[in-house]
Amino acid sequence: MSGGKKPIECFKNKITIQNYAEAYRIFDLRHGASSGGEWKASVFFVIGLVMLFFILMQNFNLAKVPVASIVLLICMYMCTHYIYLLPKRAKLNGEHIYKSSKLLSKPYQTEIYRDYFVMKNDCEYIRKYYAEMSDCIETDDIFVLIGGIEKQINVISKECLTEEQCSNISELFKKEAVRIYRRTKSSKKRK
Amino acid sequence: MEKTPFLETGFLITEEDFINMSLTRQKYSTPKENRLILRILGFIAVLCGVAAYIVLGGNIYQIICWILLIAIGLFALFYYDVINPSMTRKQAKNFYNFNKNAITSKTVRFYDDGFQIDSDNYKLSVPKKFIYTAVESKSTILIYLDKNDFCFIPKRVFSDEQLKQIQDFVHSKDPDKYHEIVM
Repeated sequence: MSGGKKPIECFKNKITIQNYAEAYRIFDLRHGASSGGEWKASVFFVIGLVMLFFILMQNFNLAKVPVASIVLLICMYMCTHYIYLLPKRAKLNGEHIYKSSKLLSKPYQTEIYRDYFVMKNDCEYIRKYYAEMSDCIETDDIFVLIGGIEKQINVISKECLTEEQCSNISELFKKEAVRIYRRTKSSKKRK
Repeated sequence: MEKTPFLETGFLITEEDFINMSLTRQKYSTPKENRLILRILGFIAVLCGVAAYIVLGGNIYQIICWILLIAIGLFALFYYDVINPSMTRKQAKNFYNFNKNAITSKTVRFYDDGFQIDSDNYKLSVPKKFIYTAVESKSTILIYLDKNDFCFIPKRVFSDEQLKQIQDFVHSKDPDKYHEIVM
């Protein structure tokens, strides 16, 4: 099988609720309700500006342009919704998903090969090739691999890795998953 | 887990299976209240827009506002019944074509105390207590392991009798957590 028989790195991976919530936020940003949030907010922003123009034409007499006023309010809400509320809700959803699952809190024996990775425990065995993935995101705390038909979100916690392992895995992804690899910052931690 | 399954079958997911699964999941994940509220708001918006256009009229700016209101109303009215399913269908088709090479045949085994799924790249063996909820539509059964992750089985691979056995299996986990979706 391509990728060799000996894994490049082998470790026990256990993800926390914060890890999964962050991973889910990233997944939602790339493929979920939050994706394209900026351009959607821009559309509503432009519509809001047009409504503001109509209101301006009536010298800010809102009684004369009630519909424009209502549409402007809706546009302001939708801009806030896409830029702020959705990403925040995504992280909360991630936490709910983790709490509802009996599998996610289990440790996985994880093996990283040149062309694929394997995650396994007594309940589940997952093997995925980097070529099948749509995203490989590295943050300060986790690696998130998104893709495949089953279990789209695969998380590797950096807390389970030594610095050398972290660096090796990062270099491997930069080299073998160059098409989909991205380095990004974690969102601010909630108190 | 018991060694002898009461039901075992193998299948390969087709594009149609995947699209049906996506539509079922999309319908299940949208609360009925959201759909109803959006339809009502859309209807009111269309009504108000038409009434305002006919009765009030106004200058060109106001007419544009009424037309915009009607357009937004129509969008809201048909969003969940026409627009969202079309988008879901298109996304599912693209997703399936992108992942076509990774799709291999699966074997599903149901035991009295759990179930197993076997394919080349994915194996699952869980007891019944790991099942979060189950959703059934006309064409698909989704077995959720948490709020997000699920296994899906197209109903076409089962006979009527086998379907009854699976329905009894998922019902017995917790009848309150079994949902039937009308597509």
